[in-house]
Amino acid sequence: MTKELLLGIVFGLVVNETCDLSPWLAKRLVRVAVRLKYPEGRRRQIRLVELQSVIDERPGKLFKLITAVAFTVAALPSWSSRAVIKNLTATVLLFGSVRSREAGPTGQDVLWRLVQDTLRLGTEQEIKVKIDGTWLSRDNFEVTSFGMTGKTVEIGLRTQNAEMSISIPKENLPQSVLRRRSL
Amino acid sequence: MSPPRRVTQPMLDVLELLVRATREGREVHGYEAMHETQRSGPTVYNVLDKLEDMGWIIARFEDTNADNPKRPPRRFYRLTGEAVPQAQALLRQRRSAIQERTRKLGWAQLVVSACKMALGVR
Repeated sequence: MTKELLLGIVFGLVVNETCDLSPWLAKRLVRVAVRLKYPEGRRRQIRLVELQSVIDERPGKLFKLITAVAFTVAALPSWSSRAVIKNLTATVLLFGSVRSREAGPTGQDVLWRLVQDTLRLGTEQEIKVKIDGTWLSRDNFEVTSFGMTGKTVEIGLRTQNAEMSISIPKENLPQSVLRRRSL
Repeated sequence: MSPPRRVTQPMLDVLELLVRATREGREVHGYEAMHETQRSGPTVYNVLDKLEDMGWIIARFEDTNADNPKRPPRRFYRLTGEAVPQAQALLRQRRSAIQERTRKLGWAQLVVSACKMALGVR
């Protein structure tokens, strides 16, 4: 009897403390969610404040926590796709064969947009290319062509000294990119 | 201002709310959008991100939370002047009368009103 009474008191205390802890935990989780969802930038700062306010508006301690968990879970795909892009860039560098070719520029922005879209690059992410042991960032090369053949994605690049194309075998692209782009 | 690349039902819901708010001369905050559209927070914020990227909406933080000054400030959204006709056109184009009615009444009420119409009951 005493044991049951003691268990009841302890259980009640645990439930009470957990409920009191929920709003605090919800705010922490929302911060994590924003960090996962938004890369560095102004929007991250804005959403940090804004989502705290959304959590505050939510009635009920547990509802606050549930909402924060939902934001965190929903942020995971964005975070993982950014991780995939990093790996994909590495894949491009690792498996992309570089060969000389003649290519004329056909609208820099359009082509770059195509590359970004196909590789699912965000506007703040960039692709780096390693040529002859030197890393080149976006500022050091132009995209001159973009095309898809049966088995590869071809991206034409022009640096200050050379023109080349990178062939990315489709099997090196993640399944998610292939599905989304119907490659 | 760019057109949406993919129009989804949550986007139409949020646009509808924003168009309504514009008509009423008010702005909408994130939680209100969640509440009014009956969509989850992440869904609504994905739409708001897209609309912001497209340049269809502008937002501002309130100085202090008008409902409760102790709470963090809310961020209010409204459609830009140019976006209002575009949003209205998009809603007209994508939301046929039957969809609109279904959404407003719910399926059960739609079936009841269809039966009433078929039976000639007013």
